[in-house]
Amino acid sequence: MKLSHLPLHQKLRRVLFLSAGSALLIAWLSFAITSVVKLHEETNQRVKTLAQVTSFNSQAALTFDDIKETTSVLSSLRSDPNIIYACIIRAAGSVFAEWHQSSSTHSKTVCADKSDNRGEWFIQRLHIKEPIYLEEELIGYLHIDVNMIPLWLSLAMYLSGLALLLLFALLLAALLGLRVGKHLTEPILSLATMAEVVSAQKNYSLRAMGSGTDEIGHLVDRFNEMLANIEQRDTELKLHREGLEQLVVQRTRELSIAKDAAEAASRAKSQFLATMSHEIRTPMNGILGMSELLLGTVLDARQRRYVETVHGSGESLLLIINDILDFSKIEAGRLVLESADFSPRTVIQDVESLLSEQAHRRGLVLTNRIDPDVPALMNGDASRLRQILLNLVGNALKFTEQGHVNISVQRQKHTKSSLLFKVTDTGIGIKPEVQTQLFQPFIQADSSHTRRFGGTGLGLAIVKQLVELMGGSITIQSELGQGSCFQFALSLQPASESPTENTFNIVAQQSLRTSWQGAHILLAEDTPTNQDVMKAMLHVLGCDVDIVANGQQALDVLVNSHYDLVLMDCQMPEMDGFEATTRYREHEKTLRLPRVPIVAVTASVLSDERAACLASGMDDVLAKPFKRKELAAMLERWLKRPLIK
Amino acid sequence: MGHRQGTVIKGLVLGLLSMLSLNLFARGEPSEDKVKAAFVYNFAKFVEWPENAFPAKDSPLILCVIGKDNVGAALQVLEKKEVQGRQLRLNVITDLTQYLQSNSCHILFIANSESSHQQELLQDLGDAPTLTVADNAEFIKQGGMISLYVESQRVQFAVNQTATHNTGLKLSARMLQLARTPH
Repeated sequence: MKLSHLPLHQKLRRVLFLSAGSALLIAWLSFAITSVVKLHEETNQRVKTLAQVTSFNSQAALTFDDIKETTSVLSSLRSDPNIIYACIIRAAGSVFAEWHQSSSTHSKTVCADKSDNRGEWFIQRLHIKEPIYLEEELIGYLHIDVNMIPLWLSLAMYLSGLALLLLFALLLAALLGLRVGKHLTEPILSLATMAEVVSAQKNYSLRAMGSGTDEIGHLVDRFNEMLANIEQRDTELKLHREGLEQLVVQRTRELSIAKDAAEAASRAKSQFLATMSHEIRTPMNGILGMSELLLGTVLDARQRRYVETVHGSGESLLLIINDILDFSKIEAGRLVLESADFSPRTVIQDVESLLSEQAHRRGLVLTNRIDPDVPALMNGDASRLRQILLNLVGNALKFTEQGHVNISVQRQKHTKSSLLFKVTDTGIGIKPEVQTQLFQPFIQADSSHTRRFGGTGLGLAIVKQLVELMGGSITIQSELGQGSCFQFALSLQPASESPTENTFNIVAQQSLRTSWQGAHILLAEDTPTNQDVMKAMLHVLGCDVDIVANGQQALDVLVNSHYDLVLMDCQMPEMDGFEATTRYREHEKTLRLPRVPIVAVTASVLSDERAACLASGMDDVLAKPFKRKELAAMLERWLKRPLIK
Repeated sequence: MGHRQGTVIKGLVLGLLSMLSLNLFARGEPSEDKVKAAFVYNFAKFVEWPENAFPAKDSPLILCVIGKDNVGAALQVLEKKEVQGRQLRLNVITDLTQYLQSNSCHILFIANSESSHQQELLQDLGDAPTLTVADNAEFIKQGGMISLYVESQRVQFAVNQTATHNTGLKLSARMLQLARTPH
C-alpha cells in the first residue's frame, strides 16, 4: 500500500520506523565497520609493536646463541593471551627458538617460514613475520601467530549487543514518537471528522475544538473562521432569498392589482363603448329617421337641401361611430365571428341594393358578376362579409368620379369552399408607395382626401382585420388614374344545411315583395323619439302599429291580442325586452300558440348583445339607427310566412 | 637411559646450532676457539665507546691481541670486518706499554699465554676506554671486564660491570642479560 493512501497515524508510524530505523541502522553499520577496521588495525599495531620489541630483545640472545634467553624473551609475549605461538628462525633457515602460549597447542604448531598475512581481513590466525636485524645484518626472523577468533567473537558479541540496544532504542523511540504523534494527529483527525460531519449534515453552525497556537491550532482557527463565513453567507443568502420571495409576492400582488385594474378599465371601456353606442345611436335614430321621413314629404328646394344635409351628416356620423366601435372591438380581440349558413349571392345583392342609390346619385354604375359555380349556401359570418364589401364598395364609389364599380365573386381554382371576391373601380387609382400603408389605421391615400372625401381612415384597416380574422388576405392592384382592384379570398365552411330550402326562400322572398301590406305590428319602445320614428316608418311601409312603453305592457298586450310581428327594444324601464320575450315565449309554449316573430331593436352592436337577444327567444336583431330600407328588408323577411300559408 | 639419551640429543642439537651460528667464520666443524672469537666480535656490537675514543668518524675499531693462543689465532679472521659502521683492525702486540704510547686499543684480548700477568696489563690500561676480554674465568676477578669460559659444553661469558666504571664504555643491557656467573 502506498504511504499516501495510509491513514495519518499509520503514516506517522511508518515514517517514524523508517527514519529512526534507517538512522540507527546506518549508525550501527558505521560503528560496526569502524570497529572491525579498528580491531584489525589495533591488533596489527599491537602485534607489530610486540614483534618489534621481541625481535629487538632477542637480537643479543640470537647473536650469542642463547636459546634459553631467547625462549625467555619469547615467553614475555604471554601477556597477550591471543598470541598463541612465536618462534625465531635464523637467517640461514634453521629454527632457533619457539614458544607456545599453552601446552595444548604444542603439537599443533610447527615453526615454519610462513608469509606475513597482516594485510588480510577476517582471518582466523594472524601471522606476523618480523625480520631481526643486528647492525643492518639480517640475523633471523621472528614469527608470531595470533588467534583472531576470540577477538572477532568478542567484537561480534559486542556488535550484536549494540544491535539489541539499538533495537530497544528504536522501539522506545517509536513508542515515544507515537505517544507524541498522537498529540499531533489528534487535533488533525478531530478536524477531519468535524469537516466530514459538517459536509454530511450541511450544518455550518458546528465548530472544531481549537487547540494551541501552533500551525494546527491556526488551521483549526481558520477552519472555524471559514465555517463562520459560510454560515454568515448562508444567513445572508437566506435573508436575500426571503427578501426576493417577498419582493416577488409583492410584485405579483401589485401586478395582479394592476391586471385587475387594467381588466376593470377594459371592462369599463367596453361598457363605456356599449353605453356610448347605445346613447349615440338612439338620438341618431331620431335624426336619421325623422330626416328620412321629412324627405318623403312635400318640401321646397331649399328645405329639401337642408334636410338632405342633416340626413347626410347623420349618416356620416353614424358611419364614423360604427367604424370606431368595430376597430375598438378588433383591437381588443373581442370581435367574435358568427358561424351560420348564408347565401353569398344574397350578400352581394344586399350590398348592391344598399349602395345602388348612392351610386346612382353619383352617376356611377354598380354592377355585380357572380360566377355560376359559386355555391348557393356557405357557412360563415354573413354580416361581416357584408361589412367588408360595403366598406370596399363604398370606398370605390367615393373615389370614382365616373365609370362603374363592379363586385364579383368566383370560386377559387382547385378549392371547394374558398371564394375570391373582387371590387373593381375606374377611379383615381392609388400610388404604389401609398398602397403598402393603405391598410394601416388612420391612413388615407392622401391626407387631402379626408377633407375632400371624408371618412375616418379606419375603413380599410377594419376590412383588412376582418379578412384576416376570416382566414384570408386582401391585396390591391392599382394604377394611378386607371382605377383600383381590391381582392380577397375567404376560405368558408361548406353549408351545413341543404341549399334547396333556402333557394326556395329566396325565390319566395323575391316573389312576395309587398306581402306585409296591412300587417299588424306591436312596437315596444320607451323613447318617444324612436316611437315617433318607428311609427312613421312603419306607416310609410303600410303597417298598422300599436305602441307600448315597456316589457310589461308589451306582455299584457300580446296575451290579449294577435300581432303579426313584435319589434322589441332591449333596454326598457320596468321590464326589459329580454325578460318580456322570455315570458311570452313561455306563454306561447303553455298555450301551444303559433310563434309570433319578435325582432329586437337595439342600439348596441356588440355581438354578445345580439347573442343575448337570440338566447332570450327573439328571432332577429335590427340595429339602431336603421334606414327604412333595412326595416323593409326585415319586414319582408318575417312577414312572408303566414301569407304563404 | 632416557635421560642420557636426551642429554646426548641436546648436545647434538646444540652443537649443530653452534655450527650453524658460526658458519660466519668457517665452514665445517665450529671449534670452541672460533666460537670464542665470534663472541669477541659480537661484544663489539653491543658496546658503546665514548666519542673521543675515535679520532675520526670513519676511524677503524682497533682490536688488540696480546699473547698467543688458539683464540687469538681465530681472531685473525675478523680483520677488515665491519662493526658499528667501522672497519675492524686487528693489531697483534707484544709490548702493551710501548704500543700504548703511540696507539690505542678499543678491544684488548689477552691470550692465555699472557694470563699470568694480565693484572699488570690491566693496570697499564688504566681508565682507557678499552674493552678487556680474556679466555679465563679469573680475569673478571682481577679487574678485567669480560671473561670467556666454557660451561655445560657451551661457551659463555661473565661480565665485571665495576671494571667498566670510569672507562666511558657502555655495555648493552641485552648483552648483560646474557652474561653468566661461572661456577
